Amino acid sequence: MSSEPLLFTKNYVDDEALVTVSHGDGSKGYLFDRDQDSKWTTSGANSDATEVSVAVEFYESGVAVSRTIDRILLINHNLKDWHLDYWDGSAWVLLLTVTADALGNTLKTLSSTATTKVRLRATATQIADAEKFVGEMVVCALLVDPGRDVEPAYAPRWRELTAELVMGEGSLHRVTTRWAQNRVQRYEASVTFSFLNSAARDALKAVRDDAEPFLWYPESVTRPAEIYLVFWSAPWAEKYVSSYKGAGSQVTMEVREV
Amino acid sequence: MKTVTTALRLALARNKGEATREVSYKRRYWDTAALAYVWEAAWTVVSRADVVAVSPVTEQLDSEQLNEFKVSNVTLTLLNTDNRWREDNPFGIFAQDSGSPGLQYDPYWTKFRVRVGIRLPDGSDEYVSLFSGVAVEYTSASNDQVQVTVQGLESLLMNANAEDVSTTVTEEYFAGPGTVFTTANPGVGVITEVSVAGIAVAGGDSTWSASDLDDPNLGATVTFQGSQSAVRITYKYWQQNKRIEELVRSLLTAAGIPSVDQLVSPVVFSNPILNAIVIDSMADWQAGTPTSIDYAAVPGSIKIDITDPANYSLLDSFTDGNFTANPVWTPQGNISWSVTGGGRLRYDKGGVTNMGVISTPVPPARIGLWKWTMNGVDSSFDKVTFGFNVMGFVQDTTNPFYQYSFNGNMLKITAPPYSGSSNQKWQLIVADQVIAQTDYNLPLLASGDVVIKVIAYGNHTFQVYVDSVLILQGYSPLYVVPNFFGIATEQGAFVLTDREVDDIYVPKAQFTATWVSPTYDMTAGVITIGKLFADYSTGLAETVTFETRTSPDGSTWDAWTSIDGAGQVQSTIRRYLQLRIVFGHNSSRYAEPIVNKVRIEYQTNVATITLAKFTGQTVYSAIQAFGQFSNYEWGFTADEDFFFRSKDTSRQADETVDRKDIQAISSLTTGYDKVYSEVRVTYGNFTAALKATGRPPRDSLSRFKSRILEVSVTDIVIGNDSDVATGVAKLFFNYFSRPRRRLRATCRFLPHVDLSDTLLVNFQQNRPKKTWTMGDETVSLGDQDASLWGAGEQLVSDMYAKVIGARHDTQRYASEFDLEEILP
Repeated sequence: MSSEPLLFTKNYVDDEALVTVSHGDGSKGYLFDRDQDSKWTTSGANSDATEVSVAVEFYESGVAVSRTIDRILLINHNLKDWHLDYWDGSAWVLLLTVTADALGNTLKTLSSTATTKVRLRATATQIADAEKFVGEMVVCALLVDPGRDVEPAYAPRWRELTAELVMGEGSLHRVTTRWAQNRVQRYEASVTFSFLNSAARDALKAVRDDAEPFLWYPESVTRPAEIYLVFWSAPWAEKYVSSYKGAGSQVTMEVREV
Repeated sequence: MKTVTTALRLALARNKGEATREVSYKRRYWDTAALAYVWEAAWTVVSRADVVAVSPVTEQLDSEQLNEFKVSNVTLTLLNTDNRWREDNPFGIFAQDSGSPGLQYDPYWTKFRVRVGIRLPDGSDEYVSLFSGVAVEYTSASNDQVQVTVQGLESLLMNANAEDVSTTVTEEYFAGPGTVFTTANPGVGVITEVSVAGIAVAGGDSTWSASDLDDPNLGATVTFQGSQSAVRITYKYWQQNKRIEELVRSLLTAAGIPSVDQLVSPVVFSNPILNAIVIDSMADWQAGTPTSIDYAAVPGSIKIDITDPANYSLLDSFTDGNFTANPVWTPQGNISWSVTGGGRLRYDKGGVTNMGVISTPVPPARIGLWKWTMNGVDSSFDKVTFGFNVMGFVQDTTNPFYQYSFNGNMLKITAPPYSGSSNQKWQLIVADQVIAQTDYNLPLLASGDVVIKVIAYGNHTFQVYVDSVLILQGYSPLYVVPNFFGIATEQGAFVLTDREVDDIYVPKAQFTATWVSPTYDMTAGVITIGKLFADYSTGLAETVTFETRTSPDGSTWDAWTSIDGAGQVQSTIRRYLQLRIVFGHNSSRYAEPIVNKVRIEYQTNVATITLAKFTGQTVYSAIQAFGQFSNYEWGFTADEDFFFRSKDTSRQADETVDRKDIQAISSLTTGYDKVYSEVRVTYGNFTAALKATGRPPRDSLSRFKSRILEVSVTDIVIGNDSDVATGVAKLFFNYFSRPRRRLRATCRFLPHVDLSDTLLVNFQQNRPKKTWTMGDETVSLGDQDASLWGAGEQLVSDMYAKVIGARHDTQRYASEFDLEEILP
């Protein structure tokens, strides 16, 4: 039983990846724009008999790379029957089949697989014969499952870029800069984990030491749509008392969205 | 004003600002098929996260004549952690790919565009372009960022050669030998190469020199120091008689600006240009359609061609088998006259003492052409015994002839019995005086008939042709007007052949000729047609009439209409015009009507460039000159479109701004320094100067003393008769004779406001202590603390202003405008 907060690697479906879709090419960029409201929507696939596909080749700095994946998260989607394939170097291999999905946000665990590309295929939609859509497609691997909820404190904050001008008659003119299709603010949070065992504490410290951006999924069960690509911005901070050595660490994590 | 929806303007005005900034690029690559650099067709958007900063976009209209939009460089700071913007990164942005399979992309002159997107209430985004330009430098500002310096698209014009707007002739060949070689095409601007027998020869004092360059009417002349053969000249010649907008388009095409991006308005002058059609050279006249017109007699003038078949008529061909009717010929003397079965008038050789005449009345003609056909002689012996005279004469009823001569005859041909005897030659006799004579033997009978032609010109010159060969020519001011045509003969003893005469032609009583001009295109901008001035003569009492007709399309014409007594053209004002000159001349009078020169004036609001010479110019400087010439504004829009358009200085506000929109007003100046009391304009052959009178107290000369603005466009060759200067001088004088306030206003973000837009500005910061309105009952007459303050008390009140500078800052989302007052 996993706990609610989870830490994943970065989403391997990003603007460097080569994304090929069978339908709705014009909106495929919305699959990874970190804006769940804007969606990849198919065109001409409004039949449950029509299979659509999204193939993603993983690239980094222009070089095709192999990624180890064990999670897929679809946010704001309407797919009912769908599959995930991976490329074994010569052919597509079925990795996951989901039928009768009734959720708008679906997180699925995969058997850990190293591959250079994956393919999402979908046929039926939750309301029959609709155009298929997916707000965000996240393919990644689990970094840490702390095994504990965010206790005693989880304090999200948001930051935004605004410019304000005081007009000649004293009124305020304000412009907020949008950075994704439907988002003007970026996520920040201060998170405290209590009573972490040493394995979870070490895994978290490894994330901090890595200093790479990672996906922070604070409420994977209650608010499954909220997932953020963040940096661990503050230095490592923990405290524990001698009676709980090895099992009672309290770690404070500061994260800021990239 | 950039085209935006009302929804966007409202969203901005209601402070619903939610904006994005978008930077995109098009890479440039070598097209191996076209052998040229081309840009990608579509923009690639730089990920928003990768755009670190964009410097403010600053635009300005150039200072005095406000014609050119200038965009300052924009600096983009982009994330470059993985060195993707490095030129030689094989996995970078400029790496070779399927779009550029031959070579990698060239970072230099990559096009960049900056846009801002505004979120509308319906959730959709509307984008406004702020800037397009080409990258000229990439500076690594830090280890993870690159700064791209982007210049306005004017760079494309500055680096293009205007000389390419010409036609190249490669190796025009001259066989020679000779020292002077003239190209076939006029208006040559550049001689690229001269070769002799296949070897290029550089120009110089000891080799060859060129002259007559840039002449609209003459080819270039290459003069060698010594005689040369097998000369080849490669050269460029300029376009001629083009409208300004056509040339601007050609220049843009030469600079590689696609035609879809060329928004070039027709150049229409607000003050009319005086133009003229001038016809005064032989080439001018020969361009028309002549009917019985003589170009050659007086080069550069036209008159009636009296030798044209239309101006003489058949007197008799004797096909009716007799000479007793149509017309009636009257024989006198003892010669036997008859008409042959073949329809020819014959007179017997007879005996030694036979002599006589035959004649018929004709219209009196003092000048014109007479001709007839007659048979040849049968032997060399025959010719010495044959004599006759023939031609028009004045009949003397009491003594119609003396031997074989008429009184008052004109041509007498006496076949000589032996050579050297003056009274037995061909003689040209006018009013019984011999004015020329020659030895001439008629061809033999076996050679067939001969045609004899006699021409009397108005300048008292007489000519005799036999079978088109001029054998006699003379001059005599004496003349009598013949009213008969006759043949007189005295047969000799040794005549072996009967003489035969046929097909007799005499001048018509009334000569006519018509000259119709080619179609003159007064351009679509013609607004009035003025008077026709002609240098012409009607002789003694002849007629020359001038008629015009006009057409909207050059094919459907109105009726011919004569000019009125004052010379005013009466035709309806339409684009195309033709002139018709009709001559009439009574042939009994010698003085011929003649037309030397015609000038028709008209006014247009468009100008035609006679010779588009661009020697040593860039496309940028050439367009700059055209912009100044036509007083049009030009530049590139933020969407890569080039515009060349009329300046809008109307008091029609594109946008209204007041204290809710303006954050601050700074540097409000009076504009005294931009006032001129005199404007001098030189365009082509015309100079116009307008000066303030200095009398009224508010006059610019009396207020600001003598300040002179000089505008001169001399590089552009316009028609010698096109006066653009006067109209432009008025325009500039009206503009510069009064001070206009200037100010700088920092405003909320108004990305759609462009240079040259009109803003209605209100900045009423000076509020009365006690605010009140008309009808307000809280104040009463006599209140000491209530004031009604008007426009004069405010910093800026209801001021119409033209945007002459703009600065859009996408970091702060604020706009700053330099404004200049538009006076009513």
